[in-house]
Amino acid sequence: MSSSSTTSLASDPIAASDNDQQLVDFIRERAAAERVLITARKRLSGGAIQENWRLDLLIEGGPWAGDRRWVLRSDALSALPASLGREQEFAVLQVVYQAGVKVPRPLWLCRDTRVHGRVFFLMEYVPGIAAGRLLSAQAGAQGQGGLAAQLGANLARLHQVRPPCAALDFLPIPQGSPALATLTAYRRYLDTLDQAYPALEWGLRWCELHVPRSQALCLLHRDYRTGNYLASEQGLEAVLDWEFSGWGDPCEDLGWFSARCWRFTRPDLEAGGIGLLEDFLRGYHEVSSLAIEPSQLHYWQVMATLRWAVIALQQGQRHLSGEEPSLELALTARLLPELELDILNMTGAEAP
Amino acid sequence: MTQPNAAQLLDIARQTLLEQVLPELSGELRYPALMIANAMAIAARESRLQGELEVQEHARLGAVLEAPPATLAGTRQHLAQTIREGRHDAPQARRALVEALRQTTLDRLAISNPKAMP
Repeated sequence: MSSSSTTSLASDPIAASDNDQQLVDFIRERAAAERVLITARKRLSGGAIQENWRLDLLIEGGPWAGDRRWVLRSDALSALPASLGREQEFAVLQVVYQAGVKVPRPLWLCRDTRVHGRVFFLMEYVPGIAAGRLLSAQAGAQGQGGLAAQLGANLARLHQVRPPCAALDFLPIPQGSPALATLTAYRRYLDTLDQAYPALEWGLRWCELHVPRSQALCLLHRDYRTGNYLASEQGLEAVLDWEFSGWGDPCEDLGWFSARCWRFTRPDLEAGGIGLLEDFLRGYHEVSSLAIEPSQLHYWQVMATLRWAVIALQQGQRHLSGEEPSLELALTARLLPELELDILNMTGAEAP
Repeated sequence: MTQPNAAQLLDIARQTLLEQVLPELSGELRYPALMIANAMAIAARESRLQGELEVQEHARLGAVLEAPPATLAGTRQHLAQTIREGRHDAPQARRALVEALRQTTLDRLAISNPKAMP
Protein backbone atom coordinates (compact mmCIF):
# COMPACT_ATOMS: atom_id res chain seq x y z
CA MET A 1 0.00 0.00 0.00
CA SER A 2 1.48 3.26 -0.89
CA SER A 3 1.40 5.40 2.15
CA SER A 4 2.31 9.01 1.94
CA SER A 5 5.90 9.76 1.17
CA THR A 6 8.35 10.09 3.96
CA THR A 7 11.59 8.57 2.99
CA SER A 8 14.05 11.23 2.11
CA LEU A 9 13.81 11.97 -1.52
CA ALA A 10 16.97 12.61 -3.39
CA SER A 11 16.32 15.23 -5.99
CA ASP A 12 19.84 15.52 -7.21
CA PRO A 13 20.42 15.07 -10.89
CA ILE A 14 22.89 12.32 -10.11
CA ALA A 15 25.99 12.02 -12.21
CA ALA A 16 25.97 9.19 -14.67
CA SER A 17 26.22 5.86 -12.93
CA ASP A 18 27.40 2.52 -14.29
CA ASN A 19 23.86 1.54 -15.13
CA ASP A 20 23.15 4.64 -17.13
CA GLN A 21 24.65 3.45 -20.35
CA GLN A 22 22.53 0.33 -20.33
CA LEU A 23 19.40 2.29 -19.52
CA VAL A 24 20.16 4.79 -22.25
CA ASP A 25 20.75 1.93 -24.70
CA PHE A 26 17.46 0.34 -23.71
CA ILE A 27 15.53 3.54 -24.29
CA ARG A 28 17.34 4.30 -27.53
CA GLU A 29 16.47 0.89 -28.88
CA ARG A 30 12.82 0.94 -27.84
CA ALA A 31 12.28 4.51 -28.94
CA ALA A 32 14.04 3.83 -32.24
CA ALA A 33 16.14 6.90 -31.54
CA GLU A 34 19.57 7.91 -32.70
CA ARG A 35 20.65 9.39 -29.42
CA VAL A 36 19.22 9.56 -25.90
CA LEU A 37 20.44 11.80 -23.12
CA ILE A 38 19.23 11.71 -19.52
CA THR A 39 19.23 15.39 -18.56
CA ALA A 40 17.78 15.06 -15.06
CA ARG A 41 16.29 12.52 -12.73
CA LYS A 42 14.34 12.80 -9.55
CA ARG A 43 13.06 10.22 -7.11
CA LEU A 44 9.32 10.61 -6.81
CA SER A 45 7.50 10.29 -3.53
CA GLY A 46 4.82 7.83 -2.62
CA GLY A 47 6.56 4.55 -3.21
CA ALA A 48 6.44 2.39 -0.12
CA ILE A 49 6.63 -0.62 -2.41
CA GLN A 50 8.22 0.55 -5.62
CA GLU A 51 10.68 3.15 -6.61
CA ASN A 52 9.61 5.78 -9.07
CA TRP A 53 12.10 8.00 -10.81
CA ARG A 54 11.21 10.84 -13.09
CA LEU A 55 13.58 10.96 -16.03
CA ASP A 56 13.99 14.04 -18.15
CA LEU A 57 15.24 12.92 -21.52
CA LEU A 58 16.48 14.48 -24.68
CA ILE A 59 15.73 12.14 -27.54
CA GLU A 60 17.13 12.63 -31.00
CA GLY A 61 15.58 10.86 -33.97
CA GLY A 62 12.70 8.43 -34.14
CA PRO A 63 9.03 8.83 -33.24
CA TRP A 64 9.78 10.09 -29.70
CA ALA A 65 12.24 12.80 -30.69
CA GLY A 66 12.28 15.84 -28.44
CA ASP A 67 12.22 16.58 -24.72
CA ARG A 68 10.45 13.80 -22.86
CA ARG A 69 9.48 13.37 -19.25
CA TRP A 70 9.02 9.75 -18.35
CA VAL A 71 8.75 7.74 -15.15
CA LEU A 72 10.83 4.68 -14.45
CA ARG A 73 8.99 2.42 -12.03
CA SER A 74 10.83 -0.52 -10.50
CA ASP A 75 10.36 -2.95 -7.65
CA ALA A 76 11.68 -1.79 -4.30
CA LEU A 77 13.41 -4.08 -1.86
CA SER A 78 10.46 -5.28 0.17
CA ALA A 79 6.99 -5.95 -1.16
CA LEU A 80 3.64 -6.34 0.54
CA PRO A 81 1.80 -9.60 0.14
CA ALA A 82 -0.79 -9.49 -2.66
CA SER A 83 0.98 -6.86 -4.68
CA LEU A 84 1.83 -7.47 -8.33
CA GLY A 85 5.32 -7.37 -9.72
CA ARG A 86 6.20 -4.74 -12.28
CA GLU A 87 5.72 -7.06 -15.24
CA GLN A 88 2.16 -7.83 -14.19
CA GLU A 89 1.42 -4.24 -13.27
CA PHE A 90 2.61 -3.18 -16.71
CA ALA A 91 0.16 -5.64 -18.29
CA VAL A 92 -2.68 -4.19 -16.19
CA LEU A 93 -1.68 -0.66 -17.13
CA GLN A 94 -1.77 -1.56 -20.83
CA VAL A 95 -5.22 -3.13 -20.52
CA VAL A 96 -6.76 -0.22 -18.62
CA TYR A 97 -5.10 2.34 -20.90
CA GLN A 98 -6.78 0.57 -23.83
CA ALA A 99 -10.06 0.60 -21.88
CA GLY A 100 -9.94 4.39 -21.74
CA VAL A 101 -9.09 4.77 -18.05
CA LYS A 102 -7.03 7.89 -17.35
CA VAL A 103 -3.58 6.54 -16.55
CA PRO A 104 -0.02 7.45 -17.44
CA ARG A 105 0.57 6.02 -20.89
CA PRO A 106 2.58 2.81 -20.50
CA LEU A 107 5.68 2.66 -22.71
CA TRP A 108 7.99 -0.35 -22.31
CA LEU A 109 8.73 -3.11 -19.85
CA CYS A 110 12.30 -4.24 -19.23
CA ARG A 111 12.68 -7.76 -17.82
CA ASP A 112 16.46 -7.77 -18.21
CA THR A 113 17.77 -7.00 -14.71
CA ARG A 114 21.21 -6.17 -16.12
CA VAL A 115 19.79 -2.88 -17.37
CA HIS A 116 18.65 -1.42 -14.04
CA GLY A 117 19.25 -4.09 -11.43
CA ARG A 118 15.54 -4.84 -11.18
CA VAL A 119 12.60 -5.30 -13.49
CA PHE A 120 11.11 -1.93 -14.42
CA PHE A 121 8.84 -0.22 -16.86
CA LEU A 122 8.64 3.22 -18.35
CA MET A 123 5.51 5.33 -18.57
CA GLU A 124 4.78 8.92 -19.38
CA TYR A 125 5.12 11.44 -16.58
CA VAL A 126 1.86 13.14 -15.63
CA PRO A 127 1.95 16.29 -13.50
CA GLY A 128 -0.57 16.95 -10.78
CA ILE A 129 -1.24 16.76 -7.07
CA ALA A 130 -1.63 13.39 -5.39
CA ALA A 131 -1.39 14.32 -1.70
CA GLY A 132 -4.69 13.47 -0.04
CA ARG A 133 -4.38 16.09 2.68
CA LEU A 134 -3.83 18.82 0.14
CA LEU A 135 -6.65 17.74 -2.17
CA SER A 136 -9.17 17.36 0.65
CA ALA A 137 -8.12 20.66 2.23
CA GLN A 138 -8.77 22.40 -1.12
CA ALA A 139 -12.12 20.73 -1.72
CA GLY A 140 -14.48 23.57 -0.73
CA ALA A 141 -17.80 23.34 1.10
CA GLN A 142 -19.57 21.05 -1.39
CA GLY A 143 -16.41 19.39 -2.62
CA GLN A 144 -15.18 19.30 -6.20
CA GLY A 145 -18.14 17.99 -8.13
CA GLY A 146 -16.30 17.76 -11.43
CA LEU A 147 -13.36 15.80 -10.05
CA ALA A 148 -15.68 13.48 -8.11
CA ALA A 149 -17.70 12.77 -11.27
CA GLN A 150 -14.52 12.13 -13.30
CA LEU A 151 -13.28 9.73 -10.66
CA GLY A 152 -16.62 7.92 -10.77
CA ALA A 153 -16.62 7.71 -14.56
CA ASN A 154 -13.04 6.43 -14.64
CA LEU A 155 -13.76 3.75 -12.09
CA ALA A 156 -16.79 2.65 -14.12
CA ARG A 157 -14.60 2.46 -17.24
CA LEU A 158 -12.17 0.22 -15.37
CA HIS A 159 -15.09 -1.95 -14.23
CA GLN A 160 -16.07 -2.55 -17.85
CA VAL A 161 -13.03 -4.85 -18.11
CA ARG A 162 -14.31 -8.33 -17.35
CA PRO A 163 -12.79 -11.80 -17.26
CA PRO A 164 -11.65 -13.70 -19.15
CA CYS A 165 -8.88 -11.48 -20.46
CA ALA A 166 -5.90 -13.19 -22.08
CA ALA A 167 -3.50 -10.36 -21.27
CA LEU A 168 -4.36 -10.70 -17.56
CA ASP A 169 -4.43 -14.49 -17.30
CA PHE A 170 -2.03 -14.32 -14.33
CA LEU A 171 -4.76 -12.79 -12.16
CA PRO A 172 -6.65 -15.52 -10.30
CA ILE A 173 -10.41 -15.61 -10.81
CA PRO A 174 -12.12 -15.92 -7.42
CA GLN A 175 -14.37 -18.91 -6.95
CA GLY A 176 -17.51 -18.32 -4.93
CA SER A 177 -18.18 -15.12 -3.01
CA PRO A 178 -15.24 -12.66 -3.11
CA ALA A 179 -16.42 -11.25 0.22
CA LEU A 180 -16.33 -14.60 2.02
CA ALA A 181 -12.94 -15.47 0.53
CA THR A 182 -11.60 -12.15 1.82
CA LEU A 183 -12.99 -12.73 5.30
CA THR A 184 -11.36 -16.15 5.45
CA ALA A 185 -8.02 -14.68 4.39
CA TYR A 186 -8.21 -11.94 7.04
CA ARG A 187 -9.03 -14.45 9.78
CA ARG A 188 -6.16 -16.63 8.69
CA TYR A 189 -3.88 -13.61 8.93
CA LEU A 190 -5.13 -12.59 12.39
CA ASP A 191 -4.49 -16.16 13.56
CA THR A 192 -0.79 -15.73 12.80
CA LEU A 193 -0.46 -12.81 15.25
CA ASP A 194 0.50 -13.03 18.92
CA GLN A 195 -2.37 -10.86 20.08
CA ALA A 196 -6.10 -11.16 19.43
CA TYR A 197 -8.08 -8.23 17.99
CA PRO A 198 -11.70 -8.54 19.21
CA ALA A 199 -12.92 -5.36 17.48
CA LEU A 200 -11.64 -6.64 14.12
CA GLU A 201 -13.13 -10.06 14.86
CA TRP A 202 -16.48 -8.38 15.41
CA GLY A 203 -16.16 -6.51 12.12
CA LEU A 204 -15.39 -9.78 10.34
CA ARG A 205 -18.32 -11.53 12.00
CA TRP A 206 -20.66 -8.68 11.03
CA CYS A 207 -19.47 -8.94 7.44
CA GLU A 208 -19.99 -12.68 7.49
CA LEU A 209 -23.59 -12.16 8.64
CA HIS A 210 -24.36 -9.45 6.10
CA VAL A 211 -22.80 -10.69 2.85
CA PRO A 212 -24.62 -8.86 0.04
CA ARG A 213 -25.63 -10.19 -3.35
CA SER A 214 -22.48 -10.47 -5.47
CA GLN A 215 -22.07 -8.42 -8.61
CA ALA A 216 -20.55 -9.81 -11.79
CA LEU A 217 -16.76 -9.98 -11.54
CA CYS A 218 -14.76 -7.18 -13.09
CA LEU A 219 -11.27 -5.73 -12.95
CA LEU A 220 -10.61 -3.82 -9.74
CA HIS A 221 -7.90 -1.33 -8.91
CA ARG A 222 -8.03 -2.23 -5.21
CA ASP A 223 -6.35 0.97 -4.07
CA TYR A 224 -8.59 3.49 -5.85
CA ARG A 225 -8.64 6.36 -3.40
CA THR A 226 -7.58 9.91 -2.81
CA GLY A 227 -3.78 9.86 -2.63
CA ASN A 228 -3.48 7.50 -5.59
CA TYR A 229 -4.52 9.77 -8.41
CA LEU A 230 -3.14 12.99 -9.80
CA ALA A 231 -5.44 15.98 -10.05
CA SER A 232 -4.95 19.49 -11.37
CA GLU A 233 -7.18 22.51 -11.88
CA GLN A 234 -8.51 20.69 -14.93
CA GLY A 235 -9.62 17.79 -12.77
CA LEU A 236 -8.47 14.19 -12.91
CA GLU A 237 -5.12 13.68 -14.66
CA ALA A 238 -4.23 10.04 -14.00
CA VAL A 239 -4.92 7.10 -11.71
CA LEU A 240 -1.72 5.63 -10.25
CA ASP A 241 -0.50 2.55 -8.40
CA TRP A 242 -2.02 -0.48 -10.07
CA GLU A 243 -0.12 -3.13 -8.17
CA PHE A 244 -3.11 -4.41 -6.21
CA SER A 245 -5.37 -4.98 -9.23
CA GLY A 246 -7.41 -8.14 -9.50
CA TRP A 247 -10.82 -9.59 -10.32
CA GLY A 248 -13.58 -8.96 -7.83
CA ASP A 249 -16.87 -7.29 -6.95
CA PRO A 250 -17.03 -3.72 -8.31
CA CYS A 251 -18.54 -2.52 -5.02
CA GLU A 252 -15.21 -3.31 -3.35
CA ASP A 253 -13.54 -0.40 -5.19
CA LEU A 254 -16.51 1.87 -4.46
CA GLY A 255 -16.35 1.06 -0.74
CA TRP A 256 -12.59 1.59 -0.60
CA PHE A 257 -12.86 4.95 -2.35
CA SER A 258 -15.64 6.22 -0.10
CA ALA A 259 -14.67 4.71 3.29
CA ARG A 260 -14.19 7.21 6.07
CA CYS A 261 -10.55 6.21 6.53
CA TRP A 262 -9.65 7.69 3.11
CA ARG A 263 -11.31 11.08 3.48
CA PHE A 264 -8.26 12.83 4.96
CA THR A 265 -9.20 16.26 6.35
CA ARG A 266 -12.83 16.07 5.13
CA PRO A 267 -14.70 13.16 6.73
CA ASP A 268 -17.95 14.86 5.69
CA LEU A 269 -17.18 14.40 1.98
CA GLU A 270 -17.99 10.77 1.32
CA ALA A 271 -16.33 10.70 -2.10
CA GLY A 272 -12.74 10.35 -0.96
CA GLY A 273 -12.75 13.57 1.07
CA ILE A 274 -12.91 15.60 -2.14
CA GLY A 275 -16.55 15.45 -3.22
CA LEU A 276 -20.12 14.43 -2.59
CA LEU A 277 -21.05 10.81 -3.04
CA GLU A 278 -23.88 11.77 -5.38
CA ASP A 279 -21.44 13.52 -7.73
CA PHE A 280 -19.14 10.50 -7.73
CA LEU A 281 -22.00 8.07 -8.39
CA ARG A 282 -23.44 10.33 -11.08
CA GLY A 283 -20.11 10.06 -12.91
CA TYR A 284 -20.05 6.31 -12.37
CA HIS A 285 -23.53 5.90 -13.80
CA GLU A 286 -22.73 7.95 -16.87
CA VAL A 287 -20.62 4.96 -17.89
CA SER A 288 -22.08 2.00 -16.04
CA SER A 289 -25.62 0.76 -15.52
CA LEU A 290 -24.64 -1.17 -12.39
CA ALA A 291 -27.29 -0.77 -9.66
CA ILE A 292 -25.62 0.00 -6.33
CA GLU A 293 -27.75 -0.27 -3.23
CA PRO A 294 -26.80 1.86 -0.22
CA SER A 295 -26.52 -1.29 1.90
CA GLN A 296 -23.96 -2.73 -0.54
CA LEU A 297 -21.89 0.42 -0.37
CA HIS A 298 -22.09 0.42 3.43
CA TYR A 299 -21.03 -3.23 3.52
CA TRP A 300 -18.00 -2.60 1.34
CA GLN A 301 -17.04 0.45 3.41
CA VAL A 302 -16.88 -1.86 6.43
CA MET A 303 -14.81 -4.32 4.38
CA ALA A 304 -12.55 -1.47 3.28
CA THR A 305 -11.91 -0.41 6.86
CA LEU A 306 -11.17 -4.00 7.85
CA ARG A 307 -8.76 -4.27 4.97
CA TRP A 308 -6.95 -1.09 5.91
CA ALA A 309 -6.75 -2.36 9.51
CA VAL A 310 -5.20 -5.63 8.34
CA ILE A 311 -2.75 -3.73 6.16
CA ALA A 312 -1.85 -1.45 9.08
CA LEU A 313 -1.09 -4.57 11.13
CA GLN A 314 1.00 -5.97 8.28
CA GLN A 315 2.91 -2.71 8.02
CA GLY A 316 3.60 -2.90 11.74
CA GLN A 317 4.80 -6.48 11.31
CA ARG A 318 7.22 -5.42 8.58
CA HIS A 319 8.77 -3.11 11.14
CA LEU A 320 8.55 -5.44 14.13
CA SER A 321 9.98 -8.43 12.29
CA GLY A 322 13.11 -6.48 11.45
CA GLU A 323 12.43 -6.95 7.76
CA GLU A 324 12.18 -3.20 7.27
CA PRO A 325 12.71 -1.10 10.39
CA SER A 326 10.78 2.11 9.78
CA LEU A 327 9.18 4.75 11.95
CA GLU A 328 6.49 5.31 9.35
CA LEU A 329 5.55 1.63 9.31
CA ALA A 330 5.57 1.56 13.12
CA LEU A 331 3.24 4.57 13.30
CA THR A 332 0.94 3.09 10.66
CA ALA A 333 0.21 0.22 13.03
CA ARG A 334 -0.87 2.83 15.57
CA LEU A 335 -3.71 3.90 13.27
CA LEU A 336 -5.54 0.78 14.37
CA PRO A 337 -7.79 2.29 17.08
CA GLU A 338 -9.19 4.86 14.63
CA LEU A 339 -10.03 2.11 12.17
CA GLU A 340 -11.52 -0.10 14.87
CA LEU A 341 -13.72 2.77 16.01
CA ASP A 342 -14.98 3.30 12.44
CA ILE A 343 -15.79 -0.41 12.23
CA LEU A 344 -17.68 -0.39 15.53
CA ASN A 345 -19.61 2.72 14.50
CA MET A 346 -20.63 1.07 11.25
CA THR A 347 -21.62 -2.26 12.77
CA GLY A 348 -23.05 -1.37 16.18
CA ALA A 349 -26.62 -1.57 17.39
CA GLU A 350 -27.70 1.46 15.34
CA ALA A 351 -25.95 0.31 12.20
CA PRO A 352 -28.14 -0.91 9.35
CA MET B 1 11.28 4.54 40.29
CA THR B 2 14.12 6.80 39.21
CA GLN B 3 12.91 10.31 38.50
CA PRO B 4 12.20 11.74 36.01
CA ASN B 5 10.19 8.73 34.85
CA ALA B 6 9.81 7.46 31.30
CA ALA B 7 6.89 9.74 30.41
CA GLN B 8 8.63 12.81 31.83
CA LEU B 9 11.79 12.05 29.90
CA LEU B 10 9.83 11.63 26.69
CA ASP B 11 7.98 14.89 27.31
CA ILE B 12 11.13 16.95 27.68
CA ALA B 13 12.89 15.14 24.83
CA ARG B 14 9.94 15.89 22.57
CA GLN B 15 9.80 19.51 23.67
CA THR B 16 13.51 19.89 22.93
CA LEU B 17 13.05 18.31 19.52
CA LEU B 18 10.16 20.59 18.59
CA GLU B 19 11.51 23.84 20.03
CA GLN B 20 15.24 23.59 19.40
CA VAL B 21 15.89 21.02 16.68
CA LEU B 22 12.91 21.32 14.36
CA PRO B 23 13.35 25.04 13.49
CA GLU B 24 16.88 24.26 12.25
CA LEU B 25 15.83 21.44 9.95
CA SER B 26 15.48 21.59 6.20
CA GLY B 27 12.22 20.78 4.46
CA GLU B 28 13.09 17.15 3.82
CA LEU B 29 13.85 16.42 7.45
CA ARG B 30 10.85 18.18 8.93
CA TYR B 31 8.47 15.35 8.23
CA PRO B 32 10.59 12.64 9.88
CA ALA B 33 11.14 14.98 12.84
CA LEU B 34 7.39 15.43 13.25
CA MET B 35 6.94 11.66 13.06
CA ILE B 36 9.54 11.26 15.80
CA ALA B 37 7.69 13.82 17.95
CA ASN B 38 4.44 11.96 17.35
CA ALA B 39 5.97 8.62 18.33
CA MET B 40 7.34 10.17 21.53
CA ALA B 41 3.95 11.64 22.40
CA ILE B 42 2.26 8.25 21.94
CA ALA B 43 4.90 6.52 24.04
CA ALA B 44 4.55 9.10 26.82
CA ARG B 45 0.76 8.77 26.91
CA GLU B 46 0.99 5.00 26.88
CA SER B 47 3.47 5.06 29.73
CA ARG B 48 1.08 7.19 31.80
CA LEU B 49 -2.22 5.51 30.95
CA GLN B 50 -1.56 1.91 30.04
CA GLY B 51 -1.60 0.27 33.48
CA GLU B 52 -4.96 1.70 34.50
CA LEU B 53 -6.55 1.20 31.09
CA GLU B 54 -5.54 -2.45 30.90
CA VAL B 55 -7.20 -3.16 34.24
CA GLN B 56 -10.39 -1.53 32.92
CA GLU B 57 -10.21 -3.36 29.61
CA HIS B 58 -9.79 -6.69 31.35
CA ALA B 59 -12.86 -6.06 33.51
CA ARG B 60 -14.95 -4.70 30.65
CA LEU B 61 -14.21 -7.45 28.16
CA GLY B 62 -14.47 -10.08 30.88
CA ALA B 63 -17.98 -8.88 31.66
CA VAL B 64 -19.31 -10.00 28.27
CA LEU B 65 -17.85 -13.50 28.67
CA GLU B 66 -19.34 -16.36 30.66
CA ALA B 67 -15.98 -17.54 31.97
CA PRO B 68 -13.43 -14.74 31.65
CA PRO B 69 -9.77 -15.87 31.69
CA ALA B 70 -7.39 -14.54 34.36
CA THR B 71 -5.18 -12.50 32.03
CA LEU B 72 -6.02 -9.67 29.64
CA ALA B 73 -4.29 -11.41 26.74
CA GLY B 74 -6.28 -14.56 27.47
CA THR B 75 -9.51 -12.58 27.71
CA ARG B 76 -8.94 -10.91 24.35
CA GLN B 77 -8.12 -14.27 22.81
CA HIS B 78 -11.20 -15.94 24.25
CA LEU B 79 -13.46 -13.05 23.28
CA ALA B 80 -12.15 -13.14 19.72
CA GLN B 81 -12.90 -16.84 19.61
CA THR B 82 -16.47 -16.51 20.90
CA ILE B 83 -17.16 -13.64 18.49
CA ARG B 84 -15.98 -15.82 15.62
CA GLU B 85 -18.23 -18.64 16.84
CA GLY B 86 -21.23 -16.32 16.69
CA ARG B 87 -21.93 -16.28 20.42
CA HIS B 88 -22.50 -12.50 20.50
CA ASP B 89 -24.86 -12.25 17.53
CA ALA B 90 -28.16 -11.81 19.37
CA PRO B 91 -29.26 -8.15 19.57
CA GLN B 92 -28.70 -7.70 23.30
CA ALA B 93 -25.39 -9.56 23.38
CA ARG B 94 -24.26 -7.61 20.33
CA ARG B 95 -25.12 -4.29 21.98
CA ALA B 96 -23.15 -5.20 25.12
CA LEU B 97 -20.22 -6.46 23.05
CA VAL B 98 -19.98 -3.43 20.77
CA GLU B 99 -20.29 -1.06 23.74
CA ALA B 100 -17.46 -2.84 25.61
CA LEU B 101 -15.30 -2.82 22.49
CA ARG B 102 -16.09 0.85 21.83
CA GLN B 103 -15.00 1.91 25.33
CA THR B 104 -11.79 -0.09 25.02
CA THR B 105 -11.10 1.32 21.57
CA LEU B 106 -11.68 4.88 22.78
CA ASP B 107 -9.14 4.28 25.56
CA ARG B 108 -6.60 3.10 22.99
CA LEU B 109 -7.40 6.05 20.78
CA ALA B 110 -6.72 8.37 23.73
CA ILE B 111 -3.17 6.99 23.64
CA SER B 112 -2.60 6.73 19.88
CA ASN B 113 -4.40 9.83 18.62
CA PRO B 114 -6.43 11.87 21.11
CA LYS B 115 -7.20 14.42 18.37
CA ALA B 116 -9.37 11.80 16.66
CA MET B 117 -11.54 11.29 19.77
CA PRO B 118 -15.21 11.93 18.99
